[in-house]
Amino acid sequence: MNTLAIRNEARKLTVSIIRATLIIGVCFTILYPLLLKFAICFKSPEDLLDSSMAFLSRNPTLETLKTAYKMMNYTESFWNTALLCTLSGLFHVISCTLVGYSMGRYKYKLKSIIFGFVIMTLIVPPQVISIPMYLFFGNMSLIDNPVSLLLLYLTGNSLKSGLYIYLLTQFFRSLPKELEEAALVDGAGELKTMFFVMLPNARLMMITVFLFTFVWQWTDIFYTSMFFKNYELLSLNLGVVGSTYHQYMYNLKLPTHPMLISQMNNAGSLLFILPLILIYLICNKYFVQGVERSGIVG
Amino acid sequence: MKLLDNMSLKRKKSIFGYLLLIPFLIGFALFFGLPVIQSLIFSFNNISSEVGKGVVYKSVGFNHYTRLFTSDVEFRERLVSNAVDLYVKVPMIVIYSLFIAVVLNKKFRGRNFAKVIFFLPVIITSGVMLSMESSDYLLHTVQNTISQGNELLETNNAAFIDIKTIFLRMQISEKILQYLMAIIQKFYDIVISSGVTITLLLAALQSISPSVYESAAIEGATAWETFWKITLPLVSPYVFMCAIYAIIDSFTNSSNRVIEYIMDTAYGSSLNYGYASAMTWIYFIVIALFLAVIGGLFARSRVIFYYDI
Repeated sequence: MNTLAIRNEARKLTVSIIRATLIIGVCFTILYPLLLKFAICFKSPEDLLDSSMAFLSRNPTLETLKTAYKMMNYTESFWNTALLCTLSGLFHVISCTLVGYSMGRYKYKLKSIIFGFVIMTLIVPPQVISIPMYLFFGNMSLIDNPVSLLLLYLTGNSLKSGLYIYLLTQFFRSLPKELEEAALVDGAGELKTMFFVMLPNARLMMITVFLFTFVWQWTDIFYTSMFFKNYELLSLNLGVVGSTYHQYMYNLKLPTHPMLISQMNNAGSLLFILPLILIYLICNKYFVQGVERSGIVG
Repeated sequence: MKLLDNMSLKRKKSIFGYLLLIPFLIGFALFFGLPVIQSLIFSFNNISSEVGKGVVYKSVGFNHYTRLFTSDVEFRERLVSNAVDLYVKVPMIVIYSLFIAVVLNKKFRGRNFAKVIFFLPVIITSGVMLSMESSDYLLHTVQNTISQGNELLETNNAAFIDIKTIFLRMQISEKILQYLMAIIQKFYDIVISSGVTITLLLAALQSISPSVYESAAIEGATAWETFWKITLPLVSPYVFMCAIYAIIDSFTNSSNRVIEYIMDTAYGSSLNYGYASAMTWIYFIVIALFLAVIGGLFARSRVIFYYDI
């Protein structure tokens, strides 16, 4: 009896050691580039060239981050981006919920065709339609105007819309029919049922859609670079932070180095991603829940 | 109003359903359908924009397509390498996600923290971040500095040779070996593209009722048997979903080499819209074929226990 208990204990220990190794290893792989960025940003120029140090630095400095902040025109582009992302998120929640609710709760003939449309928007790479879309918005002189992007969100034809529509459809399909029937018996019309009975149930899913849209719009470079040419947005400014810095130094007639430019890139990325990491850490629950719901309902 | 009153409830409901779809359908027609048709027209034309005339079309028939299949070596090379890349990545993403999901499904300390970290790549390696990372010079330099300091791992290549000799001694055939090496090289890629799939599978695992496991344990099934006979069949629809998700995700990713080439042709120095459109169409057909084959395989082999998407 005693040996059995010992064997069991040993087995448990082995399992947890293997598990811990695995999980810590993978977590490290994921966090490594982030840690590296963090380490690089605080280095002074001498430390960068010093190959005896990888993570630490002898004279940590905030200068790089400050310069990156200035190069990206951070304050202005931050507010622009935040506003754009918030509006995008709100519009996307509205449009995707409408489609998801319609497909999840109502029976009509053309549903499978419309579902096919939704899937099509998912599998056709946006690059296929980027050129005609650019010409279209160019003709309406909506380039460099947030309206163009917001129109896409408001009609649910934007970045990964199909995914959210699919998630919401599955969610609404899973709600019990009795809810609707009870509302009908109590004399509520379709609109009333939708707004006061069904949608409150989908609150969490809607938050998920909002957050994902927010984050993916924040990091998006595809639509953003297509629709905005001279507009202060973080993702655009981050893409060119290296060359902006180069130009800046050149204008001041100061020497520069590929290493410094690269450090600027890293500092810029860190500044860029910081708000998102904060949002993720605070709202982690909502991010994961949306994906989980889709799995359970499937 | 009278008309509405006379309609059956069912009819009224379906009309309301259609009404909700109106914004989406307008958008779909304007921002998806129209551009898709236009890009099809582009692919049979040479497009140039001239001052005063706007966009000028010059019909070239199937020339762009024949050029793609006969003389453009680079496109073919990129397309094939992309497909091979997928063939390595997708099975690994699915297997890895399932494995991690099974591990995370057990209770242990730090589990929630691990979950948070595993989902983090979805946030921090999307869009512009991905391109910033892959092109960065300093990140690679520092990485080399670290591996130089470590005697076991002198350089990445030396480490690979070590692993290779180990596998060769185990008398593994060359083909499998190549596959394994590709996996090791792409490990980071696999890890960062599995955030969504892990969460999906984890939720699927949690939806399996514990009583099934209990009865299996009473019947004397080992953990190994339980996994193959209970867990895997019950999550198989989600495994299929993950495979589809991974394929779409990697095909439409902007760091993808084919997409890079397309964007370069369209917006780069040559500004060849027509040719780029032809490429995107071929590319789209390849994606559709891929999805059809995967769907067909899963449906044919009857590995999916319950299938309703």
